[in-house]
Amino acid sequence: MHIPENYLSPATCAVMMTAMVPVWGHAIKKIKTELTPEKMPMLGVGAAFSFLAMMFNVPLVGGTTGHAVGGTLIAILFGPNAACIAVSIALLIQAVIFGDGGILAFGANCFNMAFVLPYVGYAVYRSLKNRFGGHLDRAGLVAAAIGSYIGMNAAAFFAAIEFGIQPLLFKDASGQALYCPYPPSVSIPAMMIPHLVVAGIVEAVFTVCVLAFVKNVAPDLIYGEATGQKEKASSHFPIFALVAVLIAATPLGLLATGTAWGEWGADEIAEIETNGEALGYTPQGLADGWELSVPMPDYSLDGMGEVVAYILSAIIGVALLIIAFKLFSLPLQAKRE
Amino acid sequence: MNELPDWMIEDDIYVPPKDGGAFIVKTLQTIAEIMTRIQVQHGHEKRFALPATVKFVALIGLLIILSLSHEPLPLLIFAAFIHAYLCTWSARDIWLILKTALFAAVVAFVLLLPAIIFSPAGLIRCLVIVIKVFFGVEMVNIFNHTTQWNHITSALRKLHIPAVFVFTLDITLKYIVLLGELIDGLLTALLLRSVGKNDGKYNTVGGVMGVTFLRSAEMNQQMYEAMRCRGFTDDY
Amino acid sequence: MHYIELSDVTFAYAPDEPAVFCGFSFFAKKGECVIVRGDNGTGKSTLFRLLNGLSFPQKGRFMFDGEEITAAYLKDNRNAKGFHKRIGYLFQNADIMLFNGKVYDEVAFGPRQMGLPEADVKQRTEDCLALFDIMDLSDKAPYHLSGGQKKKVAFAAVLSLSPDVVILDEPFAGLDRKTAAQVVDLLYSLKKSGKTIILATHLDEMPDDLYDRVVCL
Repeated sequence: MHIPENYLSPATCAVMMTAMVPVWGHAIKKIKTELTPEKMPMLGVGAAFSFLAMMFNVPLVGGTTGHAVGGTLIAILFGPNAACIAVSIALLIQAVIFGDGGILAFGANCFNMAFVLPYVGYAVYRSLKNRFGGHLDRAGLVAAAIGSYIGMNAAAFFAAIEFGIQPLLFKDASGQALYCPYPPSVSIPAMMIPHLVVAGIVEAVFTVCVLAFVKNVAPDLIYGEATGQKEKASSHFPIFALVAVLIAATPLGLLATGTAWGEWGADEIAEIETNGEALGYTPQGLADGWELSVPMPDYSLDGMGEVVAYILSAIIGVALLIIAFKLFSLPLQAKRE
Repeated sequence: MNELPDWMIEDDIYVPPKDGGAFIVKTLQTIAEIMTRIQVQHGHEKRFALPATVKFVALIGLLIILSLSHEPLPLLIFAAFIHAYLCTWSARDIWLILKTALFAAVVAFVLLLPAIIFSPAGLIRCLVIVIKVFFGVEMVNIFNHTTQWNHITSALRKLHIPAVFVFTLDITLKYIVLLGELIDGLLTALLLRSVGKNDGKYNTVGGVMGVTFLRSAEMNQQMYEAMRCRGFTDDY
Repeated sequence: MHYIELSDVTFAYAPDEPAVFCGFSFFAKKGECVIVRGDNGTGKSTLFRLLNGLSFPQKGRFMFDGEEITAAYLKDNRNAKGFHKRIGYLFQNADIMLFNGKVYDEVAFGPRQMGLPEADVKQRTEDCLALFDIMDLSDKAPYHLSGGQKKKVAFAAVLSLSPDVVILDEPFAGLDRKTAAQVVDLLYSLKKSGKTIILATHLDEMPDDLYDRVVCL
């Protein structure tokens, strides 16, 4: 689920990051009003919990294991606003300190896992729980299972769309994708099938088993359970509306920067739909003049001075030789020690 | 004090059934990795260390440039600089950097393979992406390897990121260690007591993470009290 | 060869860290009660990690009942389970051993895994709770118990597996006088029934006739 670097264009990353700013602002504002000062360190503790939950290997069938994100669980335990901040911080640490998920893609990853996942998951959990009839324990767990399953898949769906718009918006002069090459017709099923079949279930199982334990042992520690306060889903409407506008405005923003927008005409979209199962843009008009053998020689070192190329190649060659030599000596060193 | 029951005194012959407890061992390994990464970050070079802020801004700048570069020349420049720098390192450190970068590149290649097969004309573009993934991971690794995490948080603070956020980030890193040790202990105890077939694996997973949550709530309370004792006035 | 034997062991947590043990040897005969003494940082917990098969010596051997215990040996899931069943370990911090929702489930956790009939599981669990006089806690959550109670529950959970060897890390720490006396009585019974006991504790907690040897780290 963590989107690495270089699969999304910097423009997409910037838009996702911008979309997250009001979300974070909203979450922090909400937290300040709903959390007593003594609960403030809870954010950090929640983020640590979230980070470790993502690292937990959940047992699946036959000795295999999978990872959960735990977004909905954290929203249920700590409240959705605290979850948004906590998961964001956990993702930041993963990206910056552990290199898990791209640093530029941080905004996009937060959007999917710290915004869509906990808020959707929690909203589904809340509304189902109320519908099932308030305080029944089992009903709460079923609601949590469904909420986390839907939340996870909603997040995966957004990730799929982010991947999917890349080849439509960003390509070179010859029409080849510069970032993720899979259009929505490929990226959506590729993301959704594994999440619907496996990851969503891992998420639901993880959520339910942790929640069941906490409910039995110390139910008053769960967000909103002690005070009996009921949060209205409507309190999040303004922020959802704002983000929806931002998403809708994204293509317009890109239009302004003039990025290959003109090529994304109606014919292109039609082509994607007709070539559904294969890659959307099998180069119909381009295929004749563009063979495999062509690119490398005249494409590569064309625009650059031979001297520069020579120097760079020399540096790379020497550096790689030294690295190779050092790596070969590594086992020998270990043996000596 | 009662006498020991008979079953405890008798030698029981016990043949354990087959059952995968792989998740325990795997999670223990993951946690151990995290802990060593956070606790003992032996920075590679300390002598000419740039301020973490400068490095962090430079890293982001370079990542953006890398992301925007699609032509061979800028990529060659990246390759030259990264590897010229890297080759001055010791073998063990180089391997730490290259290991994950190579893994990420292989994953990227596998992910892009269908695109290459269905549309061979996109081969070059896909390879460029694989190469960029490789360079990107190398750069982030180099940054991590030369920077202590507490310097990273102070770098963020200097970038005028809100204090609540940086404060929370600091607490988070501290509690990842504390809660990580807790999970490590719980799973070790679980491993030692896993002597057969656990039919309630999910109850156990819920128990381990549930206890962790309860303890984190407890720690939160203690932390707040400690902060108040040291003159903290609810002003984040 | 002894029942439990570490011979000429060298161990460090990481290649670039100083070695905790260098040419260290340790043994315990079957049915012996051995006290391990040592200040903080002398490798007591490392010794217990080695004896529990959680870490493995880089040099030297660890033998248990005629079998060499190595990472490769324990990699086989069934060997590991059999080994852990025979060695019971009470953590210094008993808190960390408890991850079930009820005291009863905590103690029954081991026997249930052994595939015993439910009646035997019940028998074992109740016997162990009775040994520590904590039948009344049966339905409580371990999380809410006091430190001393948690220690008793953890110890009961270890004994419910009927281990051949019991390793105890500071079993008396944090216990009141009465409970400590209870644990000493229990150690007498365990010793009488032929269990091997290895424990880290201060000598003043232990009656002289209970232990056979003291090993100083």
